[in-house]
Amino acid sequence: MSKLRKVNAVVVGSGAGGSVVAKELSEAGLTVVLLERGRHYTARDAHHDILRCQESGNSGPLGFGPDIRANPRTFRLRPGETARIIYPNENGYGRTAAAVGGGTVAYGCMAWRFVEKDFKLRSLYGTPSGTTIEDWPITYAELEPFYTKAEWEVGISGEAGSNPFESYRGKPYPLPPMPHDRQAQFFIRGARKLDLHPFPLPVAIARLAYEGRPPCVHCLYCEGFLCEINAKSSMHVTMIPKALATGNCELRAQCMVREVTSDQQGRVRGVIYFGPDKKLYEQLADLVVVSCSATESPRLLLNSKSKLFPTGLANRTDQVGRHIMDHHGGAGVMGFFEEQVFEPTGPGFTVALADYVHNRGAVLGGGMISTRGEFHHPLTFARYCGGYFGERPWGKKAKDFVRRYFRSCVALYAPGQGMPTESNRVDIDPSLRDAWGIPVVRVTHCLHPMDLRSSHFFHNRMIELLQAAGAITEFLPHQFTEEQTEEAIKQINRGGLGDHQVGGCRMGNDPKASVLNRYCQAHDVDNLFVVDGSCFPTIGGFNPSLTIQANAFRAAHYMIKEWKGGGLRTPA
Amino acid sequence: MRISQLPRRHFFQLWAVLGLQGFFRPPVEICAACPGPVIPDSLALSPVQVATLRAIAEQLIPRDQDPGAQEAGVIDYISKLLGDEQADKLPLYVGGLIGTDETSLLMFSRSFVQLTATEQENVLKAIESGRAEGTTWQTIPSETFFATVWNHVLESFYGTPAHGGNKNYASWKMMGFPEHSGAM
Repeated sequence: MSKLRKVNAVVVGSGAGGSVVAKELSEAGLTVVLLERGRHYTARDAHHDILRCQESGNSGPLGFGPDIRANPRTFRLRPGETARIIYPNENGYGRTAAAVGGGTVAYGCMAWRFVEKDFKLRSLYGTPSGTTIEDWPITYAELEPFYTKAEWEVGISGEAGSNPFESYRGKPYPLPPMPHDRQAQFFIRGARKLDLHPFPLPVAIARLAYEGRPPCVHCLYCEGFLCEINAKSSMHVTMIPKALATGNCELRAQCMVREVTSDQQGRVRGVIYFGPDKKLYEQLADLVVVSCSATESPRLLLNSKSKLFPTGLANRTDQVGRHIMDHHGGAGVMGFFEEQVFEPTGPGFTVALADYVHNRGAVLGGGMISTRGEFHHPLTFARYCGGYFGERPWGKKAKDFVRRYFRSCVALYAPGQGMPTESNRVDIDPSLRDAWGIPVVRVTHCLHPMDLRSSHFFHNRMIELLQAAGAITEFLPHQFTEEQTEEAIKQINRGGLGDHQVGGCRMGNDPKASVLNRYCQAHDVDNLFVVDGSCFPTIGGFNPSLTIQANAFRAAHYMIKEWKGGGLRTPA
Repeated sequence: MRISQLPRRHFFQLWAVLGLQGFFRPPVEICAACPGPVIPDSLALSPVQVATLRAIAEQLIPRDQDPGAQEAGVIDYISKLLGDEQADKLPLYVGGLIGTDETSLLMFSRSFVQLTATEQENVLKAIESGRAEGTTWQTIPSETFFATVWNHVLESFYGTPAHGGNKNYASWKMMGFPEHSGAM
């Protein structure tokens, strides 16, 4: 194993969290090595091939990693059950890209702030039986300046003041909002009829030229695709070039970290990783920042055992991997209209409403409702519109439907807040290893009754919205009654994580119930930080990326303050 | 079963030695009306398998006033996949196509390509739901076979033409989706 020259910080993972930390630390003068298991894609790798995008349903490879056969996981609903193997292109794994820039390379780019109340779910609602809800150890007020910093540094397009339910903000958005598309007009029509308050959906896409990047050209290939003109405000065209420009940051792609090493004093020393040549390297550093995602960060810690940490790094209180969450609040409903909805304009999701955020009977915090754009491609529409025929649409009836209604479909999305529970967790599969020989993630996850209530609540709200907009009721799925909901809760056999995986190394003030303190610093290990979605105690009713980025700016701010004060260093 | 016992004018595939597990060459075809066995020279599907697959694809996305899966190039798309990137699915295909014929014979005493459209639909529904008769399905899960073929047929019909299907952007034209948008 080759030992590499020690640096101040090694950051593992170059997604929404890791890229921000690497850039902030480099700009503050620390020497940084940024390791990424995926490849470094650039605009030259961009394409409009629906069969090679970042989509779980395709039979072929994921457009932007991870490699399917090399990266299996296992999944089971409940503890004690046998877990089955799942691959990256299957439901339940999540489509987050493995690439320089992480999930931001090909994501849908919604850029949401949480609201004040999202940080104190336990204080507001208590802990329903079976859930392990805790307040965040920080308030919206503490995160607010970093939300502003993230919006301006990443490049978010939106309209301040248009959402009456948004919490206060110190500055407006740096860029004006995306224009409403034709699909948005239907949403607005329905919302107004119901006295709801639609507004332009904030997105991490440059509406106008920004920091040397050109404005969006509204192509039809946004979500699931890498932007060929760099208008998408992904990490690989925003934070990473800035980090590299300092001269203090070295990016190493296709490097798979096997473990974080620690010393006899209980401090981390660095990481051991496989290079692109498959050889092992040890990178020493004063501080280690783990930013591998809600599933992969716990995996790395649990696989980093030592005498002082026999059950895994920072895991003395058995909290690593626990309280894992995703959004299950009513993933999607479609409405069909006599009029044409489709127009050849992306990104396809330009409007939302937040009336059901901690309001109007929404379950445990609720969340936003928005339009979505993926169903404006023939393959995605044909594959998923089958909800109206049973599991898989085929035959003449399906073809008639696709031909007739592709251009008249309004598709909606509502996250809803998934609950953390005692048994939902990530741990290490006892036998399966990946292509590098590293033991893989085992996900244990089952929906909680509150998740089903939330899902049915939003399902019904979306149908109401579509009906108010004039949808042809014949093709809408039925609404769930309370009796049907309670019946479904009696035997829940659904679970699995999707694209918004968070939790697993949650922040908290009590080390017995959390892994990290309020600065994303491990309670047990001063020079170890975990900065990605795994630090969330609750998930909020909005897509997580902007909150991951804002929190990363905040954690980096603390790291730099400590560093400049002489702290965090490991003696030579 | 000896060759002399095979009904005339029927094509059958014989498993020479091994069972379906680990099978990676197309089976030898014996045609009662032909002079000798026809051995395909590629690892992709044989003519009989292709005919059955074509018929399945036609049921999944039929031709009507617009092209169906066959005309859009489903065979080109799937052959390309099975010959290269998804070669690991070839045993599933070969076994599943044999199973499709076995179920057809058990349900209607004729091979799949010989059935009426309604009969073919019934066979496929049985295979899709895991209720299909036939010993083939003891080693090949019928739902997995159906789901795989369904997904491939969808991809061939609605996907990017560069992969062999959606010839002349047939499906995108049908749906009013801009053809040139996929070019990149």
